[in-house]
Amino acid sequence: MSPAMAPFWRRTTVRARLMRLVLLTTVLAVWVAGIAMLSVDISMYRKSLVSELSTEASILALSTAAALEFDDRPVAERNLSALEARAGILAAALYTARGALFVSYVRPGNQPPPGVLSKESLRIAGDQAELVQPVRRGTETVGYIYLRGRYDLVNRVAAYVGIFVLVTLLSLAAAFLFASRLQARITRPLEVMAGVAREIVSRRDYSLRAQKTSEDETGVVVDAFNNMLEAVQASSQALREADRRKDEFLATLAHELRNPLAPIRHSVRLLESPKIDAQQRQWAREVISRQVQRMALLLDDLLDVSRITRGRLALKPQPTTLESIINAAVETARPLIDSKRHALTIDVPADRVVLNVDPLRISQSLSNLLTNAAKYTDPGGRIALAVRLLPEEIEMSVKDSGIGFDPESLTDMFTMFAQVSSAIDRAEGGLGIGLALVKGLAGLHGGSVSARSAGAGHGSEFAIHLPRALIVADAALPADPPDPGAGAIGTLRVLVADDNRDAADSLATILHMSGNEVSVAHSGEDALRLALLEQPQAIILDIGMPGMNGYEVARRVRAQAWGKKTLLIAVTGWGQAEDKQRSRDAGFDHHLTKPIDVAEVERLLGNFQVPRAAAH
Amino acid sequence: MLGAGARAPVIAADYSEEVVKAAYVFRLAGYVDWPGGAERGDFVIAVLGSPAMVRQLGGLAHAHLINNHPVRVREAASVRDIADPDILYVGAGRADSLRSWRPAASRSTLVVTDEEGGLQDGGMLNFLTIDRRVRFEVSLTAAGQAHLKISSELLGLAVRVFGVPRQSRGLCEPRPPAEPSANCASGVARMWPSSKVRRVMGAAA
Repeated sequence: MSPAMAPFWRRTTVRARLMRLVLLTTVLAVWVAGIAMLSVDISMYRKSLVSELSTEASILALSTAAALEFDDRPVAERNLSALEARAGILAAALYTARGALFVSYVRPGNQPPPGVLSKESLRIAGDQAELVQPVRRGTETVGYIYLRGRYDLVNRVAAYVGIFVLVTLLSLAAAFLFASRLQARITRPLEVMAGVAREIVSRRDYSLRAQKTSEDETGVVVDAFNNMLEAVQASSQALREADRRKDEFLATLAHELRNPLAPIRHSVRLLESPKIDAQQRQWAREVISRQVQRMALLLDDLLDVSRITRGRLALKPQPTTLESIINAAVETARPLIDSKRHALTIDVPADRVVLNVDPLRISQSLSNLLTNAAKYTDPGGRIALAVRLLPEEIEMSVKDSGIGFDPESLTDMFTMFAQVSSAIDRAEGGLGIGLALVKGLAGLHGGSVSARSAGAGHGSEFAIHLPRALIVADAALPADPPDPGAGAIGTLRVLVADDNRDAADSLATILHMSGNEVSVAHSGEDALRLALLEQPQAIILDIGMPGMNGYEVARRVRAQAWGKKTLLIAVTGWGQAEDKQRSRDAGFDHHLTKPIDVAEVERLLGNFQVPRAAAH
Repeated sequence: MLGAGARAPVIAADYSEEVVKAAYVFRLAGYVDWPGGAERGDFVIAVLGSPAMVRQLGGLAHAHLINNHPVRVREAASVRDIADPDILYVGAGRADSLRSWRPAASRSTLVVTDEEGGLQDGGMLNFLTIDRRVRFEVSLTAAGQAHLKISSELLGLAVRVFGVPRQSRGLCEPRPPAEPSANCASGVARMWPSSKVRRVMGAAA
């Protein structure tokens, strides 16, 4: 909301509000005090008036008692006439003991005293107070004295109000001066901060800072404001940095995906050529296979990193020998190492070690390190893979004689998209996600990663550190899994359903070549229709199909009598525990995460067939 | 300004002079200090030569105390019979007999006379009738000789005051009432000096 749209009372500045508060408080205080004083004064005034009249009456009584007793009117009149000097007395009178008027006095312009003695001793009416007091000689009452005085309440209150107004004005002036000085100390830093804030908003310059002038709460606010600015500056820098890295990454990614396409396209053109001979065809097939493999690895890494980042990667730990992990890793990295003629030495403990880890992920991490070492080392270099069982941890290190790195780049090295800038120009390229992936996978196992280098050109050493608790007894090793190939022989009626035609058709072709009867559907409705028609023994269902999804198809199939024993395999991009639970709830037997491994599908089909075969 | 008072309390026909004078005698006692103070018996009023006053005073004595003492009234047949009362009232025409009276030195007697020149015969307070109203004059000299103190309030009401207390400068001497001293205070309200000044100014005008 712009300030102009705000109601006027919210548009004022802090300074004005503060001033208004101080002035209001002052007026309130003065008037509360004034009203309290006035009420006390009115009561005091009344009391003092009565006491004054009473004293006057007592003095008069003393001087006039003899005159009353001896019936001497002139003397009494003279005594009363002395009241002329008392401006507050308006009228006075002496009465005999029987109540008859004896003598009286009245100030010009006033009512004369009553002819008959009043019964009341004190009466206040309007602006006059009347007092009647007995005149005594010893115990004898020789007469009565009557006095009427001015009870000037209205003028008194008016005078008070006048004084209050004056005091209020003076207090306001004093409060204004005082508050002006005080608020400068409170609002100045705020105004400074507001100015800085406006400047920052208009110029987008987060390096500005407000100056701190005091150590009180305002100082704390200024500090906090500056700290926030620092944080904003840092995070905006970090965002810019991340954005730059992402741009670089996208460029690299495009480059990396584009690279294998050229040899593939050339090979395809070669295969289309009628003049091609058998040896050339073989070569072209190998090129295509190798480049596709490279792209698949690239994309797998990318997917894994993104899964780790989003916390969607689930480990499948199982007792595995260290030897099999090392072998798998070396096997993956071997082609690159060999192509660059590096010398690889492997140093592992002599004893058989069994680890409860996800074998796929650990060997993937190790092969990543090996591939990196091979990439960033000039041909003919040395690479050393070593596994050491330390008291606290298992250390798997890969040391090379390559280009190394500066210590400064150590902090960024394991973050996504980071890449040693000089390495970008190297032919091997890469996405710069390998180390981030290694770090994420080690972290999932409760471990960590580290890197060391004596500096650029002096080689480097990367290590994965895993907790020793991952080592388990030898006996935990499962028996050899059944030969996956055993179940592949024989025929099953299989239904493959996926709205991605290529994915469905290619899987169907491979399964058909394995000797199965395969039908294909490209939507949930088609899949259900075909299933009801053919009653297949196994159904491979994509979950995310338009119309009827995989869950629904599975539930409908399970509802059929023949469907109770059907093998249902879910295929989805989501691999979290709750996703698996959902597919289990829908009636699936297995849950495969894209991209699916055809060999895994064939193994599941084979395992399904074995007990069936045994039952027959 | 002094308002016109109520009707002047004149002595009514059925309200004899003795009634007023008896009341005044009782009231006088409140303005006079007798030496000796509290240690004394009944307050004694002796009346010489006025049976009417004996009756009136006797009536009042039944109902009133003087200075918190019961009052005894007795009639003295002659000067010899006076003894030493607290107040001696001498009826009209008998004041000259006071010259043969020798009061005891130990007792102070307030002598009240009721005739022209009563103060010359030894009276301390003498009733006068002026404009049909009962007034009085005082001889401070005689009262002083008897060690009696007469309060200023009472003096303020006196028509004339002769002599001065011992503490004051003497200005007035007992004189024949026909020619009062110009220097003597006569019935002035002494509590209010300003009124005295006004009176002097008024006289000049």
